[in-house]
Amino acid sequence: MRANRQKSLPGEAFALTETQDQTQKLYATCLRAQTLGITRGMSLAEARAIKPDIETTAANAKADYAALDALARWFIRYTPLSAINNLDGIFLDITGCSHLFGGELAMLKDMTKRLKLAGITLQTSIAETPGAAWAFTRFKPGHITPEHENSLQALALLPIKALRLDDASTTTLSRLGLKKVGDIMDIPRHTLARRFRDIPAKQVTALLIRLDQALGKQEEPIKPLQPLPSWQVRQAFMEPMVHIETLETAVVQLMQRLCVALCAAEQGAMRIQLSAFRVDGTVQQLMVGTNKPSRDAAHIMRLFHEKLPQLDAGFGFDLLVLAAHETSELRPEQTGDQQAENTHSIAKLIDKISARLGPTSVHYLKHKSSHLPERSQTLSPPSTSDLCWANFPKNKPLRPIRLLQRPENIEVLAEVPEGAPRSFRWRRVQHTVTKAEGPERISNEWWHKTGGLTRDYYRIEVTGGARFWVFRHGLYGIPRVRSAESKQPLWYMHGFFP
Amino acid sequence: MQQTAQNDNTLAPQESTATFEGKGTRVQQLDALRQTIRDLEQIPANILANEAPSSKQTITDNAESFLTGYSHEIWAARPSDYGAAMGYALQTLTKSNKPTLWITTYRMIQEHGMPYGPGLLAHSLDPNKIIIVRCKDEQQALWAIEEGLKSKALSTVVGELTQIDLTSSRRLSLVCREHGTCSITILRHDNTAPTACYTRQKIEPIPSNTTMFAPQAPGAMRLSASLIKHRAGIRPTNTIMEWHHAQDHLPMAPTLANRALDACEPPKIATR
Repeated sequence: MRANRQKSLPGEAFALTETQDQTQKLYATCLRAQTLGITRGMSLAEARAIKPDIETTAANAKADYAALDALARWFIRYTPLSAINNLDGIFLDITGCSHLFGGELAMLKDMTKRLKLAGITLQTSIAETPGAAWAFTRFKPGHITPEHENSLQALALLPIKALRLDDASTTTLSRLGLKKVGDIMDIPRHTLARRFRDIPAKQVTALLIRLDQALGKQEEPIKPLQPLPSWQVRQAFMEPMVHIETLETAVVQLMQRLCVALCAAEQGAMRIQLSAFRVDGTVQQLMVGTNKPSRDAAHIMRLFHEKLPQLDAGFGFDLLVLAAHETSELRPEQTGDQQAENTHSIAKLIDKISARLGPTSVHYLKHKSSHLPERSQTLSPPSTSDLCWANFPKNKPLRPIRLLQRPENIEVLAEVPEGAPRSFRWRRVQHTVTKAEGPERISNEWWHKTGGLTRDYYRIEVTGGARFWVFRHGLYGIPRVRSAESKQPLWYMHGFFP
Repeated sequence: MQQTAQNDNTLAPQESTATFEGKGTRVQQLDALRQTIRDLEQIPANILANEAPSSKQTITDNAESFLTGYSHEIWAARPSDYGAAMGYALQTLTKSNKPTLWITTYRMIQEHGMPYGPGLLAHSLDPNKIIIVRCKDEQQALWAIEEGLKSKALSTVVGELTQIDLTSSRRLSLVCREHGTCSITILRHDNTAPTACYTRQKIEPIPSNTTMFAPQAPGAMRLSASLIKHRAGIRPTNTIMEWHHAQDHLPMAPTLANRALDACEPPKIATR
């Protein structure tokens, strides 16, 4: 299937250019230019020689890819396996899907009709292998290989280029008089390699591989845009839906169907995705996640309720697909157990908060084995099972109840060697220290290369009663024992005691 | 109303039969099994119904405890009071086995740091039970507090804000009342506007007592809690409290700590 993304002005030759190897090459050309013999890949100078007044614009490859990606996503309405091929085509694996649309021919017609309305022209074909489909789409558009037959005969009539070969190989082969795919098919394989001694081995191998792929002798998996969901339900509408309220009613029904299916399989979903297909050919997707596998339609609906207003209905949605990604086993449980109810309701609360405030908003405090105060606590997502606080050593001196994320520099006004400061200024307020305890010496962990200096922590109380945790960064030097770690050690505020 | 049936596995039988023929019997069987087990364990169907407090609840405790079903405010008037204010809030959290939802904003974390597990452990609060919610602004924080208050599975919802207005605090107190939950809001502002909270305490740290073996070291947490507002009409009081590592965590401090032995009274237990 080939999406034709050329912008054609009626009557005028037009081309998009890109810079390649320091020359301007044609990236795409319009139909009018093609009739003049101007094709893509030609240099701009050549094109100018054919038609001096050809109009050109620089191509935007990124936007082009984004548009192709969006189109490939749109095709998910026909099959979940849709893949982008080489920036100018889309592969669809329609195995088992065509009967939903009334057969292969009807499916192709439906695609063409819908995309024509959206202003996109396309060439399509259906064959049993990606290689053959690629060839037919480009050289015999509209071809449908009938079921239980192979496309050998039809393929044999196509030019050699249909085997997805690079330009050098094509030229060589045509120079040798091998112009059709059928010419190569007839040659015994072992003699083929012998005959092309002049051609690098790689090219011959590529040729054989391409041939095998087209004939289905070698498997060629397509890499879908998104992995296949484990479970999915869909609902198409006769009339496009414009209002979010009606959409919500439809989603509720879909959700119930999905949950019934999950219930029958004793599965719970962790991530649920809603894809809304708009009439104009765009797809909008919403994703909600749960921390525990769930198949509670009401709960998941509450999570979607937060996000549904993000959808832009425009001219209306005509298809909704609800898919459950990441499912895992969820056995039926006894209800009415108080403790289980509590766990459930906390998981639901966390889901609801993270659906609205973002997945990184809810955390548990987790202990990490480290001497450094800021490293001994990390934030961990709600799904963490063990928070390791039992491993925290009991014999540590008192720790503050709040810790600053980054220690803040304090300006020490009266310093005492090897002791807590007498007075200091922090956040423009001067404090006089009345009581102090310390130092608690915490040195940097030797297994971390990016080392800081040794810290001397002091627990201090200032006039007024506030209690702080401050440290001096770097040891003083002791004559004939050790040298100072830093010339003028800095002091930092790090935590607060109640 | 059968609230216990809101487990995530439960599906109404008619929904299942509508789509999956033949599977409906299975769901019905499960329901019947659940009912049997419920009967065996003699769990009443309306197990949660009697947990909500009646509106005529009598006030049995003193001013300094945080009554369930109401919203409470702790006010730190100066930045350096904030640690003490949090310490005061901790006293109620240690009593319950249920988790605490701790809602804070990035700005508060920047200004006053994150709650720190090792320190909480030292103050008898299990960090495993704390769920931290970090919000971008106070509007989000208020929403999160309200959502938390709707859940019965939490012991307390603690919110850290700079200020709260009358409308928001009225909302919170109504949600508290409706769901029988308790909200504690720690406010950090130089002056506070009138709000609809049930109690408000102004917390200030005060210099600690001398510890026995290290006279130069800071002692245990000591703070002054001034009750400045109480909806039930308790008169404003000022209590000096001191942390004690023994069983009852935050008793009232002995009136004069360093007096001669004969003048000492046993410390009056204020909480619990």
